[in-house]
Amino acid sequence: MSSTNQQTSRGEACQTSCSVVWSAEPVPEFPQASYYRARYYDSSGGRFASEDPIGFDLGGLNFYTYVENDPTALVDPLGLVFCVYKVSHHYLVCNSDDGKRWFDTILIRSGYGPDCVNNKACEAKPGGPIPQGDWTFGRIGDTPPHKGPQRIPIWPKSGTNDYGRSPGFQAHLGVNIKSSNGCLAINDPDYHRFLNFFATDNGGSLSVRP
Amino acid sequence: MRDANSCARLLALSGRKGFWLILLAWFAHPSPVRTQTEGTIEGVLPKSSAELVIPILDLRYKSLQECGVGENFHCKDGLGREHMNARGKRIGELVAHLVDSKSLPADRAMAVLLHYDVGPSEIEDIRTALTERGKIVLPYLLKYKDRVPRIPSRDYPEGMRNGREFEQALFGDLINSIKKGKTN
Repeated sequence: MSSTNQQTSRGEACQTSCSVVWSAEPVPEFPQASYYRARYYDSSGGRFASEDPIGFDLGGLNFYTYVENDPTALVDPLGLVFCVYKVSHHYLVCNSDDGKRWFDTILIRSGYGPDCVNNKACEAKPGGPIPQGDWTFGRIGDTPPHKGPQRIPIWPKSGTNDYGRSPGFQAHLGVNIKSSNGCLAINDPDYHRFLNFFATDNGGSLSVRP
Repeated sequence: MRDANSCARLLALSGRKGFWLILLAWFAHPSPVRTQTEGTIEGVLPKSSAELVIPILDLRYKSLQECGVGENFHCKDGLGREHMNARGKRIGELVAHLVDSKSLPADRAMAVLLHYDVGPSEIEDIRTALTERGKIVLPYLLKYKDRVPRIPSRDYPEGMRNGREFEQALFGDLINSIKKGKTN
């Protein structure tokens, strides 16, 4: 694992190339691009190179849109992972502390049943998706004992209205493909990819948006 | 007339041994205004299961008393939030212990807890544990699907419940999964 051109500060794009891309598959034809499940990330440009093929009405949305075109301003204050979860698109996108590693997935659910899964209108109710606002990721495994892969606790930041539903939110493996009770349930193989991505910084911030 | 009779009976009892002790115990327990929905109460939860359920629901009740819930929630930060987080951690530990218990009282307790908002991951863990237990828990799920048992010496408010729709979905999905022989 080596990088030919280290980043000077968090949030800046790599100047020439970044070969340290742990959460993505290398693309032989395009050494600077990595396939991120659904689209390509161009490390020379520091942003996703392809249109979002998910099929939702994202309007050309990419990470830059998710962080309001200011990726350097919207970072974790402690210098850890920063993620944005777009409830209505059930889309999670994350940036590592050093800005070199990215993660995104659509294999994610928050909320229960046909009416409330990824439905912002249910956020105040038990079983609704995680409420919008700012949250803190705890450390991997800092949850009560349980079976299965390790989980990541999610705590509301000061000022976030969780309607008294938390604590108890977590990011964990999606066992039931259809829903969770509000936790960020990520289906495999993406959950293990997320754990690997998260492990280096092991903490961070989550911004939940409608 | 009924009130007068009650008062007279209370006065008569007050002379008996242990009366004041009982009265003190009654005041020491949570006694919220609202109770479980009329017509949905089914018997009394046996003591062996109540002992598992009460510590969890008492913690949740304290948070609801201090912070409110839903649109009335008012602990977005500060000490109230800290208290709530601490109680939430303890609830997580108690639920983890419960889902690991693998006993009939624990099975019954988990079925009853599906009616209460004890936390998103906690309800998910209870769902998973009940599914893994399989057909042995079906009688409890069928019994409590539409009815909440009275919990001895407690009267938790409606605000602690998951809501009729969500409860029905939880019970319905679980019953169907177990009947189909699914284990997760």
